[in-house]
Amino acid sequence: MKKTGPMRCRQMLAKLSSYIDEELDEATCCRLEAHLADCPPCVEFIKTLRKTVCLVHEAGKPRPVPARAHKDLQAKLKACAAQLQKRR
Amino acid sequence: MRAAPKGFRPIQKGTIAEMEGAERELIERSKAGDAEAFSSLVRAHEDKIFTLARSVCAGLPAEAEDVYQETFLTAFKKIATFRSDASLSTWLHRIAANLCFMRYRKKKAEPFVPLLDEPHKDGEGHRQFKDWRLTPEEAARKHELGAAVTKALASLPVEYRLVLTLRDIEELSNEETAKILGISVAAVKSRLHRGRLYLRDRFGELMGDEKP
Repeated sequence: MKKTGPMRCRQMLAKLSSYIDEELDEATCCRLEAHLADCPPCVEFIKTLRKTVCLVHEAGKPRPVPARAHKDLQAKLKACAAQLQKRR
Repeated sequence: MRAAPKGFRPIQKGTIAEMEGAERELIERSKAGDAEAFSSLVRAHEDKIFTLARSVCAGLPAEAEDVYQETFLTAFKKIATFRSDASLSTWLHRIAANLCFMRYRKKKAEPFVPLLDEPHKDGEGHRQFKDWRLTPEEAARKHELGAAVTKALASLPVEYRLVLTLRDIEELSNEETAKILGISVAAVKSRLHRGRLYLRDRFGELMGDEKP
């Protein structure tokens, strides 16, 4: 039987990532939000989970490949191509 | 930006179909042993692969550079086996993810702290969560925060780091992540959720939450 009442804190925890990624179906989302309406600590928990995702995203922002590493790779690729050519 | 070496034909900006066509042509030339064509493919994909390597090899830049180089060397050696109807980006990500996994799978030293059963305890006084929006003072500590994130990521097992990197840094879908890692979508979601909760707890200490 499909659950319809508001969720408890424990049930909600399991759904949080899907909630912040907007992947929950409408019915589950409504139950979760009904719980949030009455549970300020869970609202705060969600805020900090969202912030966690932001911090990870910020920390992983793309940076260019170091020029030395790129140059080393080009030299290795040339050597590798020459070896493969010899085998053919 | 680095200038393209003489004789290179970088992939030009254009419609998706044109870009795909240009990439297909470079792949075919690479299959015939053309290192210059392969170098153009490296240029088009290296930033994403390096981002993955840098995040998974958290705090170890020399290892990240090794993974980046090994990924493209492996790809060049195996390009003949690459199916023309597949996505080159997915294939390169899979090679890089495998290299990261092989490198870290034996390092089981990282203890994975048990996760919470509930976001907070009922009754006995709620744990207080500080507002995590960056204050000007914290914004000034951005570098310090970045280092703390790297440290927290490094304390996660590699399977979790890979999922968090692909989903929360590279912003790939659950399906793309599952395809790259060769696991189910349910496993991606589960690792992502557990990994985020673990990091949230670690960052809580950093951002000044009260201990439960």
